[in-house]
Amino acid sequence: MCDRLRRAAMIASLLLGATGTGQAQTVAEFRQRLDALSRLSRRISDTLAVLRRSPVRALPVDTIRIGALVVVAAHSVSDHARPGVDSAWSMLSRLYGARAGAVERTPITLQYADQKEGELPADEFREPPVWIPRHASVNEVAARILAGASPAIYRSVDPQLQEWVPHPYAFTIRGSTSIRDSIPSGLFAELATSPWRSTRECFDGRLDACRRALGISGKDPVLDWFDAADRRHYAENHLKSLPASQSRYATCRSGDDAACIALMRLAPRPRPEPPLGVTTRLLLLALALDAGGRSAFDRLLDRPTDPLDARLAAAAGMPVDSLIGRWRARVIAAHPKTVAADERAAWGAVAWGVLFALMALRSTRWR
Amino acid sequence: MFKQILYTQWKWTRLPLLVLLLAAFALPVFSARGASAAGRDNWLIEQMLSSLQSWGLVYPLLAGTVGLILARSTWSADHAGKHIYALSLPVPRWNYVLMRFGAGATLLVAPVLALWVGALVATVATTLPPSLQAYPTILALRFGLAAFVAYGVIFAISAGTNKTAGYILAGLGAVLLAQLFLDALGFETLFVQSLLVKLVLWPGPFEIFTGRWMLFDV
Repeated sequence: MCDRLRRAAMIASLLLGATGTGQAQTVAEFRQRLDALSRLSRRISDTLAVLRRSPVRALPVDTIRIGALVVVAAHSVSDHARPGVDSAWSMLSRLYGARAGAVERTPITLQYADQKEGELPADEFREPPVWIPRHASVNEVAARILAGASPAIYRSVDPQLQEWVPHPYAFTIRGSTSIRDSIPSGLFAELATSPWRSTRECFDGRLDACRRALGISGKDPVLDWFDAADRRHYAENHLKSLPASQSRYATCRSGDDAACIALMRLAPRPRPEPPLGVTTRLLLLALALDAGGRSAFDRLLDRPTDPLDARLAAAAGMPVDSLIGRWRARVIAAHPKTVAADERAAWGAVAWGVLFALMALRSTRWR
Repeated sequence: MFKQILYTQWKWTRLPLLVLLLAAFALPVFSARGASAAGRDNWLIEQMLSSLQSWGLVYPLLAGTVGLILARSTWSADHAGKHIYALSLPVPRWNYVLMRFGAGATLLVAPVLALWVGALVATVATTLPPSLQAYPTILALRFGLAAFVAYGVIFAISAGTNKTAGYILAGLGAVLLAQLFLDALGFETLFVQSLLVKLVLWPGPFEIFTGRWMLFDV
């Protein structure tokens, strides 16, 4: 079976090559053909990998295929897993649109903690199994499948986006506990207490500062996202142990901004870490994809060389300042619960105190 | 009669109450030390909030201690005198118990006021960054409510006989032992944990003790 597939692959490669030799081809055409060949080669490798899962095939396993999502689960748990797979695919396709099809290449193996068949044998051709705890809910199963499947899609996106938000798992954005629905109150605290200048200005309501704080605009991040004091602190926090630049680090710490700029440009990261953290950035991405509908992710990836603010605006289908305004309003609305006990808790405390007093009235003493 | 009961309770508790007053006044003042620096340097805000958060654990502890000490001392003289004095009074038991409860609850106001004054002093003495706010009054109010709940619990337990208190303690011990026994047998029943969660989350009696107890916060 495998030999036949290999032969088919070789014939396909030759045919593809042959069609290219009949006419003059540009570099772009050559690249296109090369890409097509690579894709074909990958698909064949994947098919071979699936076919060679002999240890698993010997076991009573079921393959659940919903859309492009392929999940292998032991027979005894496959009925339990199916709604989770369904939910996972629905989230993947809503979030990633046509690109969700990329999950087809990496079948997910589910390993339940207490399944009758025991542990499924390891297989070099498959990703490590996704562990599902005993009595997991549909949401939990879906979340774990998404955590296993999302990287397959996201690893193909451009480096600029990957660097900006490394792990936008679908469940974080679309799931029942998604970031757009339940915003962590820590985001408000981050915006309110962040020492970076752009973040403080963003908290005060300047949307251009928000763009800089989020790291989505500015031609030169070193100069545009940070002021001199920020750069000195950035060097102290992130670049202290940069090799072969200790003298520059010392000069930077003494207040020489030029040394700080030079030091930041020496850093191994192509761009510095934006002032606002990755969770706040993820919320912006989630809101953009949510506003943009089904093809938002495709639009986001359409122009990988454009600045991120333009790409996010295209994905959301609205001007970037409207998107940032929406993001800021959501963060500000997520004000954490401070010492102020809510009215309910306060009345609850009074009621409990009185109830305990009434219990004392009914004491057995003196009866 | 209430005045007399209040006066006697004040006499019994004035020394521990004085210590509690000092502690309640000092707590916000001490916790806010160094907060002004964050007003001048934004890079210190996080550190200041983190320090305040650590101090935040002490507020509910102090509230619990205030409630415990006042409730225990409310009944200590009656327990020592075998309740003869109380039985000799021409009032029904429920009336007597309510007066005792009311007198203790009135004395509870003093540490709450001390904490409020301490929090106000700390607030006035601190220059905060614009994004932070001070909550002196709400902090004191919450402290008072937590102390009231603690006072109510201990008052109700102390009002009973030693046997009743023993039963309650034995009950708690039995629950813990049962949990340990089930753990040892490999059962995954976490009823002590779920019991604790029920006590500290709404509508549990100790919900007021949980959450952020910070004089300065976002």
